[in-house]
Amino acid sequence: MRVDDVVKVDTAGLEDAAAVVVMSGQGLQAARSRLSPQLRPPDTISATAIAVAQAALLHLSLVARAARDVEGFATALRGAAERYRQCDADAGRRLCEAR
Amino acid sequence: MSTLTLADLLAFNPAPYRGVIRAWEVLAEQLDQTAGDLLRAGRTLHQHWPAGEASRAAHHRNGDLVRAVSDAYNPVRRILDALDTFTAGMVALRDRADDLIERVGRSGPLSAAGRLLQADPFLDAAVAGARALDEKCAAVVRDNLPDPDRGFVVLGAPPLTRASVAAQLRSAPAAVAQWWSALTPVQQEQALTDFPDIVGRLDGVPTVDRDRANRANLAVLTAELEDRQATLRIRITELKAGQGQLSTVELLDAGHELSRVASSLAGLAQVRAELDRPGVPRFLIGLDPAGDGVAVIAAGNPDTARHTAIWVPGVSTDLSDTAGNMVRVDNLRTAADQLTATPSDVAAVMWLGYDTPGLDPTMATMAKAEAGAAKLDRFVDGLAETHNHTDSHRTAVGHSYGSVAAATAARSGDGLDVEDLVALGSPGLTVSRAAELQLEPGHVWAGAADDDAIAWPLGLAVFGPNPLSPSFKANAFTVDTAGHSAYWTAGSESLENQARIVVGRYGDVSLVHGTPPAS
Repeated sequence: MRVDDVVKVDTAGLEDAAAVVVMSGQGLQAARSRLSPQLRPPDTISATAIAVAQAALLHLSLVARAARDVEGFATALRGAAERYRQCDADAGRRLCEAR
Repeated sequence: MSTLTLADLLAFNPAPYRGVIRAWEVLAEQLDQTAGDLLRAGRTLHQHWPAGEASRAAHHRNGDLVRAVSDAYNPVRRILDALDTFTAGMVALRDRADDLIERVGRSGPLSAAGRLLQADPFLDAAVAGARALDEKCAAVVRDNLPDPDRGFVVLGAPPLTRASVAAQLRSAPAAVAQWWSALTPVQQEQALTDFPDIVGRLDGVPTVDRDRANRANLAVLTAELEDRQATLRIRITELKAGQGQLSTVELLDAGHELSRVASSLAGLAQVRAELDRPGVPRFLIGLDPAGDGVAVIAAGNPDTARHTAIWVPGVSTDLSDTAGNMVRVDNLRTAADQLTATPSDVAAVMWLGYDTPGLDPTMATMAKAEAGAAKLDRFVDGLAETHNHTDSHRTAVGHSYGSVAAATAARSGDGLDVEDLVALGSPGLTVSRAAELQLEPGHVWAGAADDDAIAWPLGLAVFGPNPLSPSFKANAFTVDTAGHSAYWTAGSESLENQARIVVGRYGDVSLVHGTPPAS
């Protein structure tokens, strides 16, 4: 990465993008918690009810994983924004050139 | 293998299943929302963090997450659709079984009733039907189970092809709407990015998506025309300087084409200026600069507004008239919106979606009206599909020859899906009575200035009788403006009357004659 590339980074914009990602991760997580008891039929008589109960478990587990991944990505974006912000001083610029 | 019994069928309670269906629906909505948010974040990420290895890694990661979330969407939709079919089928079978048992129970002593029931073939068939429904639904659910490790990757939707998207141009708007909503967010994004020239024309795709497609297309078309303009200028300079093979015909041809290109660019510039105008949000729902050019621009979102006016222009209207036409549409929207309790309850659409006749013999024929009517009918059907409210109210407002096109759409086939039709400065509505326009009684309206030279009977009496005549049975409303083109003057009674119709305040319309419907 060159110094020119570093100064092209809009850290405020990057944080805004991170905020959108955080929100989407939280939305997914909240939906998972709220829907967890509601996705399966109460009876276990029909083949449908049994299949849906299994589907609910697997879907929720993947939604939870996706939510964690999205939140992790948001944390990484925020970290990047913070590091680029530090690079606007001369010392930071040298650090970037060294990297 | 389903083991449902007659007792299970008779005891079937749909309420918990409906709750489950709703929960799966909410999950689908959340996945859709999350994928959309991630797509948007990815687009801004590119602007804010344009270069470097970490930036590339972040974009890649963002893409992976969008796909992971997006691929989960369709399986969830298929599960909830299967549950919906199962529940509806079970209720229908249960109700028929209940009816039969009740009828037999009323017919005589218990023992006789029991024998009758045992003998009735429907009950066996009902249980077999319930088991079949159960097995089919369970199979769909199992087909849409994610892999515990690899997620939905095996069920991920394939990329769209240009041919598959273009095929939707031949589908009815209802089918287009269904097709669009069944696409994953990634597929929708791909369609908007790769095929905006097609998506922008698809009646049945939501307004915000068509707007995005058409704006992208506007930029591409403008760039192409500017390139062509530059090439032509160079060629003309060469021809004039004698550097190329001098050809008067080629020079004339290039000059004519340059003029057409300049005209198209000027029209597109007007469209762009209207989209950039501050105030009520604009939506570009249709665009094609070919020929005289077509453009459909909405002031306000017709998918969310409770009332929508579709303004249809008349003779010799093209893209160069966009600014003036949007003033009329804005005035109508503002006047109507002021009559409603909630701001943004009204959207108004400038529907230059057809090739209007020029000031030539075609203006006295039906050809352009018939071609326009088919397009208008399809456009309005699309709006009906994409509208978010169940109680939407649409009004077609036809000006001059535009009223001929709107009336042709209304009287043809299953009619035009509007509640009201307003004709301003109309040369005739191609029918002998308002009732032939297939609208509820009292919902056809007409107005014309005394000195309007185009409106019947002063104009060409080739499109049927005067719609202002009492025998035509339209509601003739008061017009206080002069000439053929001033019906949308702010503050005028001409405009206020249209606004009242657009928001359904029929009793407030000042009438010359006629009977307004109940508001």
